[in-house]
Amino acid sequence: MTSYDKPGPLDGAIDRAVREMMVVDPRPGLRHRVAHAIKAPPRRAYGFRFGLAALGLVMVALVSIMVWRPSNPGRPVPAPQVAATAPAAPATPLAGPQAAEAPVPPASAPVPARPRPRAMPTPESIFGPRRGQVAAASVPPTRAASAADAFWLDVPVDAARWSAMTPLTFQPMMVVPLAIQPLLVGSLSPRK
Amino acid sequence: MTQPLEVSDLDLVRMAQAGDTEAFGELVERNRRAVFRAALAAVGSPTEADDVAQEAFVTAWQKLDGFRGESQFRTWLLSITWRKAIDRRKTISRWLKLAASSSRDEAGDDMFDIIERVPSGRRTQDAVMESNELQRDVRKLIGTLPRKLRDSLLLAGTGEHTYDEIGQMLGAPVGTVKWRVAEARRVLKRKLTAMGYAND
Repeated sequence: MTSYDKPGPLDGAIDRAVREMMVVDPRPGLRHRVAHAIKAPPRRAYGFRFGLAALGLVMVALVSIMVWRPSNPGRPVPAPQVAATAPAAPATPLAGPQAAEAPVPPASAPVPARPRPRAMPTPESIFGPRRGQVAAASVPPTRAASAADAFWLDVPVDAARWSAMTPLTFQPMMVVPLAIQPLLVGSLSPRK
Repeated sequence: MTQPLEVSDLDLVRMAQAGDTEAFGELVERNRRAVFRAALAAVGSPTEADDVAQEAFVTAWQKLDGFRGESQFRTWLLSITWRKAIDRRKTISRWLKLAASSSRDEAGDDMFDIIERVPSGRRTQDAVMESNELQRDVRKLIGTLPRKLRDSLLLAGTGEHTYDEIGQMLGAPVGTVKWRVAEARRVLKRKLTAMGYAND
C-alpha cells in the first residue's frame, strides 16, 4: 500500500471538489421543455416531405425526357462509314515504295483520343509532293469532309457554317417525249 | 387517510408507450437529476448538460417502443444519455481544438480547462476562503486526468449513480470502474503532493 492509498486530508479535498462539480441540479422546467419538444412535430418530417417532392419532380422530368427523345426526328441513326470510322491518317502513306521508309508507330503505342476537330485526310496530304505522278492524287483538293459527314462523325461544326449551307434540292426529272416519225413504205430501199 | 400508490417506472413506461405524455413526464421528473449529472460528468458544463439531458429524454420518448423491459428503464435511459453526452463532448472538443489549439495552457487537454465552473451555494464564505487555492488546484488536476479515470471519478461523485449503472454507461465491469475511481484518486493525490500539499 503506498502513501497515496491511505486516506488523508487530500482525500477530503478531492471529495469536496468532485461534489462541488457534480452535485448540481438541472435548470428548472426540464419536464416542460421535454414535453414541449416531444409534442412539437419533428423537424425531419418537413425535410422528408420536401425531399420527396423534389424527388417526384426529378422523376417527372426524367420520364418526360425519356418519352420525348425517341420521337425526336432531328437525328437519324448514323450509317456505318469506313471513311468516317477510320482514324486520322498519318501524313505518310502506308503503301508504295515509300512505305518502307516511313516510320511506323509501334503497335503498343497508346491510341490517342479522338481529336476535335478531326482533320480528314486529303489526297495531297497522302501523296505529298509526288502527287503529280499519281492519277488519283491529281484530283483538285476538296473539303475534307462535308457538313453532312461532319455531322455523322460528331465533329463540331460551327453554327455559321451550318447556316451558310444550302439545302439539297432535287430538280424534277424532265422526260423528253420521243418523236417517232411515221414509217413510209415507199421510202424504204428495196431489199437486195 | 390512504397513501397514494407509487406507480413503478415500468408501469409508467407502459402508459407512455400507449401515448401517455403525462406518464412520460413523470419519468422525466423521477430521472432528471441522474440524467443531468451523467451528462455533466461527460461534458463538464451545466448548460451543455442541460441540453444533453433534454435531447436524451426526447430520444428516449422516440425510442420508447423499442424498450422491452429487459433492463431497468433508468439504466436504459442513462445509456442513451451517456451516448448523447459523449457525442456532445466530441463536438465540443473539436471546437475547442480549433479555437484554442495555439494557446493551450497546462491545465488540461479538453473542455474541462475552460468550462463554466459549477457554483457552490452550500459552503460558507469562510470555508471557501480557507480552501480556495486547494480546491482550484484539485479541479484543475481533475481536468488533466485521462478521460476514463475522470469519467469514473465524476460519475461516482454525483451521488446519483451506483457502480452498476456507471459500469453500464461506460461499458465496463464494476470492478474496472472501482479501480478507475481509486486510480484517479491516487493520481490526484500524487500530483497534489508534488505541488506541495501534504497528505498527513
